[in-house]
Amino acid sequence: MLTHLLLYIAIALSPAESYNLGNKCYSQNDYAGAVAAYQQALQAGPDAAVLYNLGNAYFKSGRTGQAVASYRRAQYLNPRDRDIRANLEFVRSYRADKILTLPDPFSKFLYGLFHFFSEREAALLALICFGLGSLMLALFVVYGKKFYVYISVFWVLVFIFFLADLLTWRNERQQLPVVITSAEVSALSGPGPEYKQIILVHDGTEGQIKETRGDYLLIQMPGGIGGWVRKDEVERVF
Amino acid sequence: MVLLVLPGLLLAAGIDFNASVDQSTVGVGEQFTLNVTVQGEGMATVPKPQLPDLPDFNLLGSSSSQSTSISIINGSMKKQATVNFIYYLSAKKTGQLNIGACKINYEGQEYQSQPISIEATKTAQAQPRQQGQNPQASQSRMPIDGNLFLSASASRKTVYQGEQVNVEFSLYNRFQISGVGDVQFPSFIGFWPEKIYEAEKLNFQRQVVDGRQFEVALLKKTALFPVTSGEVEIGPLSMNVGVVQGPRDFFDMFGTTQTVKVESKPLRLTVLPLPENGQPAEFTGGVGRFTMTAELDRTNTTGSEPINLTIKVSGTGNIRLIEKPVIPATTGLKILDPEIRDQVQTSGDVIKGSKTFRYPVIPQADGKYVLPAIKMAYFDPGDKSYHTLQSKVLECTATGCTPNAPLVEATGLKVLGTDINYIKPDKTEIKPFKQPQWWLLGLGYLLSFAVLGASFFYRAHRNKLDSDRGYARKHRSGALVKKRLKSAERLLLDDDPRQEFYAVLFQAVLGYVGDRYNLDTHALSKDQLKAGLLQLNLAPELVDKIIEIIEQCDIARFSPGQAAYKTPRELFERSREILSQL
Repeated sequence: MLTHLLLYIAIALSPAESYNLGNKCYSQNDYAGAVAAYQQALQAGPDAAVLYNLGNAYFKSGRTGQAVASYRRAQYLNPRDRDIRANLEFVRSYRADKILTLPDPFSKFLYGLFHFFSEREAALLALICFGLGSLMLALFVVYGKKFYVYISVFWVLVFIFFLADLLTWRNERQQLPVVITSAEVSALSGPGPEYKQIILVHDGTEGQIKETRGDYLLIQMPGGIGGWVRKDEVERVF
Repeated sequence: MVLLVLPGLLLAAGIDFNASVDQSTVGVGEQFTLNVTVQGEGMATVPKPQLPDLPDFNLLGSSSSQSTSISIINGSMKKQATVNFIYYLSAKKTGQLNIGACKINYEGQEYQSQPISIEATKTAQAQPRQQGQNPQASQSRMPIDGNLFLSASASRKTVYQGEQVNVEFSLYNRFQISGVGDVQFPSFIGFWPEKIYEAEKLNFQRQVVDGRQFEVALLKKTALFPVTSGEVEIGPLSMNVGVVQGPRDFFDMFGTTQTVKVESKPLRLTVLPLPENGQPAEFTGGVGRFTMTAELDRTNTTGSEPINLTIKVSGTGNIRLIEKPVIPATTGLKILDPEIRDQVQTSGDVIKGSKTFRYPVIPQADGKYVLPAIKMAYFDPGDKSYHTLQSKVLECTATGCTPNAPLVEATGLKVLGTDINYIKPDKTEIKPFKQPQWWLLGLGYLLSFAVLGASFFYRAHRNKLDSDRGYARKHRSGALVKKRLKSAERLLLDDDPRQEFYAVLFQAVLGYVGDRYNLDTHALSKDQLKAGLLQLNLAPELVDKIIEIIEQCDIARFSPGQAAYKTPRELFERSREILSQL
């Protein structure tokens, strides 16, 4: 009742007003109302803070999978936010399936390095580095001083780093990550209800879409196992 | 009566004093024996027991015998002495007759035996026996039942969970035994057993049960600590006993040995659960009576060296079942899992000992730490209530964990649980995220390439300026002619155009043509210039116009009297027009 009323009010509100309304609902433990208000605030476009708070509201109302998806979207926009990282980690440790393998320190370091800047930042910084590199090379061509070549090489190397960063994000998005949002899903051996159930997965488990056939998606979990699930049982992250 | 002196024993312990009869049913006038036994450790002198008044019996005579057994247990010698006083009696009348309690005064203390009741019948039960006959021989072919059995007894039938209860298994026997074997001890399921005594050989002692004398051997005595509540059954102990039956007749001279399997009755115990009511949070399963101490092996540590926190719980009760106490978390101290040791011994029938928990404590940062008092609760079945033990507050100082850190008093910060971080605060405005415009980025890259390309063009231009004189002249021609035309225009503003104007205009036109086509114009005559210009494939009309301007300038400069066919303004506009066409 309260939820519907809030939703009705929210339609006429700006994103910031909807967001603040969601915060109010959240502080009064009306998590369903908060979810509705935050979703309203996201109508105009994604925002890291709204997605983060939405993830919190989802988690508090027991929807682990939706919370994971929200946090991941928030992290895409603001990868350096400690709250987002901490809550994503917490919610991941909270979910029923724990098939994630522990990453070794080196790949963890690499992950941190290539997720320090968001995709947008990486794109802009790559362009700036390329521009500076080109400029330095142009100065070398004009004045012929080797000093400019060294600076140019430096900027080109930095450019390559940001390019790799960009490709990492791009790759991550193109892997079509999904999160299970139903409490319990039986993954099937084929794209239809008549196929055999092969894996039982739970709310919050992450995977990748490998193939789409009608209403069914072939989801692959970490560790290589996978199966077909209905589209409405999962939520795509990007 | 004989007074016995047992030398070498200084200490006198308590004694056992018993009276028994060899038959519980006798005929009137039939002789039977009343056996009064005094048994004890380190007895010095045994006084003669005092018989009760025996109005219904005739005292026919008496004798006494004495035996001593020496056993060495754990290096200490025990001397057990037994003195038998035997009285020969006969009943005077029929019916239920009573032999009252016999008394003995030993070391100032009075001991009494159990009264014995005897049934006297008219007809004699057996032939009157001769004095000093072996009682066993007279009881040849006794039934096994009731004369050979195993008894299991518990010190109490109702105990609390975790409270000590002792069970004893004894063999009661009135036969001559050749040996025992195949002893099956019960398994104490639902209990934590602690051995008190286990017989290595049968050590019979005389004991009177219901007025009958038995040889009793304690087989096993175990302290049990129940771990579950409810009705618990302790299984039986069983063994095979070889019983020598007395000779039936002359031909059965040595008697026969019969193997009898005896089994104790199962024991049923009621185990009460510990009261839920008032059970402190610090309760760790201890039942009994305990004390606790806590100490640190040192109070100063450097460089994160661990300090050992030792908590010692000692007392009587289920020592082995006590779990580790909860150490209150202290910020900055990492307390690892303890190393646990227990030491249990029996003292009499009571299990006592101590359990030690040694926690390595690692300081995480420099500072002075205060470990709050450690609490531990136990249940005392004696007063049926919980008691909480509390250690003193411990302090320690850590240095060298973090260089140059100030000493900080640790506060009572505690982690009570974990949850997600709280939501972000309100905002006045939200700018929704927009993906970067890819065409804009592309434009940026194009611009970069353009800058790079331009630099190459510039470089090439500079190179040509340095190497190609014509290119260099041509390059500067435009700027030069503009400058000269400008000064010519300034001169034109004067009312009377003077020689100077024509000189400047002449220079501008001739210089520009020379620069533009890399010709040494000043050294050429008008005709040579015309021929040169025509060679460059310039339009003949244009060449003519250039020559005309030059001629006009020459006329105005060198023949002032000759009227110029055009005004200086017209000549200037015309030159500008022609130069722009080149």
